Amino acid sequence: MSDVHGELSDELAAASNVLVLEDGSSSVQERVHETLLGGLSEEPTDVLAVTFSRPEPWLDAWADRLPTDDANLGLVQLTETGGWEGKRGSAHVRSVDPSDLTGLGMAVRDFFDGVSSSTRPSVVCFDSVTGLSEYNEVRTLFRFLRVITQQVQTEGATAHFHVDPVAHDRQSLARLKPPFDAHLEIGPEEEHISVSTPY
Amino acid sequence: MHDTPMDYTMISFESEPELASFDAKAVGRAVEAAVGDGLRVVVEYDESEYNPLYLNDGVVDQLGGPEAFGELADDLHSDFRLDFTQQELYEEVYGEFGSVRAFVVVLDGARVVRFVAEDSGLYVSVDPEASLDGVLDAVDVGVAGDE
Repeated sequence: MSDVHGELSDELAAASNVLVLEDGSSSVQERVHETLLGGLSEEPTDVLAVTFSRPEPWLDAWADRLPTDDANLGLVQLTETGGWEGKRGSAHVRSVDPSDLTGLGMAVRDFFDGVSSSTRPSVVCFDSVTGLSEYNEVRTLFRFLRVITQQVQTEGATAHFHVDPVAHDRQSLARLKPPFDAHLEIGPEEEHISVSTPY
Repeated sequence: MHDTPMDYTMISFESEPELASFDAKAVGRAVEAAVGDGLRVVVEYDESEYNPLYLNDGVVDQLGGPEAFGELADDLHSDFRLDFTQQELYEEVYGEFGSVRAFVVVLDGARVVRFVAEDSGLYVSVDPEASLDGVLDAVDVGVAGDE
């Protein structure tokens, strides 16, 4: 159990962009997610969360658990109806329509512009590719992911993107996988975590 | 414009093609015939790796040496390896217009053409003064050889 972080960290150390395939809820997901966010790291980390959820749980977690000090924290809420925008603590919150991938791309760009002089590691969480696929064609989403993953790599950051494999047909999933340099599959049991690298 | 094609020296390939499903050398030669000494690099690639077939010494120097070239080539390949998925998606959109044979990037200092077959490709970089028409004609040499 305590080895999950260590093993994952080793296997994913070389990956810039990780696709996290998670089928339903699992007790192990949260800890895997923490690992990907660098939550166990002692050093402050710049974090951008892109999420369909409400901002509060993220903001609370940042306030309580991460060494936020002077880290850059950004949250983009994906919502059709508009959400709260502003600053809480050191976290910047904004909202983007999930069908507006150009706007989302600009929000990601703004985050990287903001951390360009930072010496801290940068981590980005996308939750989720499955949600975005409900508002965008697969071909549009592929192009978006191609650009974003390249940007993450160029910036020397790491990112992980959640996807529910059951929610996509086989062909769509096959087309959404290639931009990522590691695929992390989380089964219902801890021992079903597996990492594969396409190259 | 470069003098073509009678008086150029034929390039010598640094390594044998091993990734392309088509005659990568023939495509490289066709591009060379079109641009002469305006040819900068010829690299074959697929979804998992790449193999430089020809590197102009001046280009490697311009980039800061073999190591710097390698870093750039790594970065480019992490993007170019997605061409084969992109190709499929374009072909669905364009429908009756047939197969995607090449992608073109026009930069101030170079023009890069990526010839793509179903699961392998060849990218060439040529000087900005070179004619793209001649380069694109290399498609007819047989990039679609694996169909």
